[in-house]
Amino acid sequence: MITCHVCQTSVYFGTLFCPECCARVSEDASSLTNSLPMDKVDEIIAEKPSDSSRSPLHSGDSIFLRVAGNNVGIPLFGQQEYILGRAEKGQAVIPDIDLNKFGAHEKGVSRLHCHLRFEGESLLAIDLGSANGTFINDIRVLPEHPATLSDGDILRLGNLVIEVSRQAGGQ
Amino acid sequence: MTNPSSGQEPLYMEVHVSRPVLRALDEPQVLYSLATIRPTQQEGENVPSPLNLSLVLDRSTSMTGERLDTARASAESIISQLRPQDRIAIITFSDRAEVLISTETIVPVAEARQRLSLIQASGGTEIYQGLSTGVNQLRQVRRPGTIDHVILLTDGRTYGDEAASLQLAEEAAQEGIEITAMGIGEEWNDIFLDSLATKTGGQAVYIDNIASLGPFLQQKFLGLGQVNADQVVVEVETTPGVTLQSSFRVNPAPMPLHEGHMLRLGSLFAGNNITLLMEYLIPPVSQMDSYEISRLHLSAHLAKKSTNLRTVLSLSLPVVPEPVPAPIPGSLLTAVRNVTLARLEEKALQDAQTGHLNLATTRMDRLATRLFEMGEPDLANTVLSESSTLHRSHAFSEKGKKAVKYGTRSLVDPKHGGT
Repeated sequence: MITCHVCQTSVYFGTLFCPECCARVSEDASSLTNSLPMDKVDEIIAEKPSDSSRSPLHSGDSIFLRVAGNNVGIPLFGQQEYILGRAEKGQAVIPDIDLNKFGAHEKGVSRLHCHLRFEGESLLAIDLGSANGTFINDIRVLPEHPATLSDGDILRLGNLVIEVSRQAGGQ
Repeated sequence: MTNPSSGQEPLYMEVHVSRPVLRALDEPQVLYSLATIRPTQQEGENVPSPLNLSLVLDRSTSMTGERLDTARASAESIISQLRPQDRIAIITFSDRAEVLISTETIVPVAEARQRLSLIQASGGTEIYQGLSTGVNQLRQVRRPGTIDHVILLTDGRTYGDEAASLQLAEEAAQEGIEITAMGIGEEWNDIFLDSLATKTGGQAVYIDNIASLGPFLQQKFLGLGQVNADQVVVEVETTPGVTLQSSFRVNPAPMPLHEGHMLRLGSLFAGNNITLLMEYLIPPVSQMDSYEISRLHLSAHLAKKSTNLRTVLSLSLPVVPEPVPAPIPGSLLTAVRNVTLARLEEKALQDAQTGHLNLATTRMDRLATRLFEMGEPDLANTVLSESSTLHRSHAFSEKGKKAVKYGTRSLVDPKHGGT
């Protein structure tokens, strides 16, 4: 039997959703990426729509990631690129930013989910073929197709919501 | 995993499972499978099959006014669209039934209109009277190659003849007659109409607003005129020890199926598939190359060819010591989630009926939480409102109960527009 992490109901191995609270149930919280139901299957596009109201982020900016529901900012400082995902035991490549403490598994974040890279003046987000997708402002980006991030963009990995912003006065 | 059936049959079944392997375990495990039945042929080259339709209209006192007017207008509209090969019967019933138009004669539209105008609302609701007359009308004209369908329209509860009606539905199903049961307003018995429809592979429909009756009937009529196959049945033969825990028709017209292994799925409409979600409980198993979980016997009536299709598909998986990481098909995962929601709602209704009010409200509140998360705030608010009604008055409201039941069920349909 396995235990639903939300309502503590015991369910059989292989159960996908808890029959008592409909939370996603998983047998092994440390290994597989938690697949999420796909409600919007036809929204995949390669480029995010341009939004002229937001200014692009640059490599010289002081940039922070902030996970929704959490006040701690994660600075992007000192490296040209960052891999976002979940660090698990025995994993050959460890992500630079481990999102486990933000409930990444329940929210369907893959172990190596998304790559953030400064290229020229721009900050790019590249989905690494994640199970549940990378979204910028709710638009899904194609795996391996870089998309430019702007100040105030909402980056979503599966169901984990992250705000990308330039710190006030950091320019 | 995909398992198309062999050969060049006009339809085939493919099955996706929640895991590519079973785990060798000394305790039971769950496996879900999503079976999709699709037509093989290119559409458009076929001549539509003749339709035999019985429209059974409740004319009890409560139908007075707009309800009866709308039913009359809808019936007239259907009659005006009949093709030369189609037959229709119009039956009205209260505590007895009358054949207004018989399947054995073709009535011009003007005369049909005149006969419909004579319907007077009065008396009680005895569904068996209307239903048996409707079924008998089809028995008189049905032959190999016809699509035979009863549409029952009622706004009330029938008393004392439920068992006879369900028995009749069972017989109708065996003869290849499908029933669509439509409940108008709040007073009808949803459990009874669900049962009646499910026994034949049909559909129970909640018409909360009478204005939606005409468009629904029109859509149903057009669909029935373009059926690729009807009497689609999957009989699930499980390996000893394996339990079919539940089965749910995901598409079209989402509905829990009757307990048991004979799953009546109704008609395969042109341009559509039939999708069925099954949940198995597998007993403790040890490592082996191939473990057969079930055999799915698919049968269907191919109206255009006046023949019956029969084919078998074996669902077998290897059993391995360790779990194998594999992505779960998105359509299966979504179906399991939405069916789990619909099941949670059913459990809450049962709790309320059996007096377990605290459990019912807890389950309703959890259902509302998930619905909010899924971006269904209207339905979530209805669920919350029913939860507080239950807390206050120890019973659901009839309107709210039906809105929650059929609303949650409609989420299962892949064509549902929400997120």
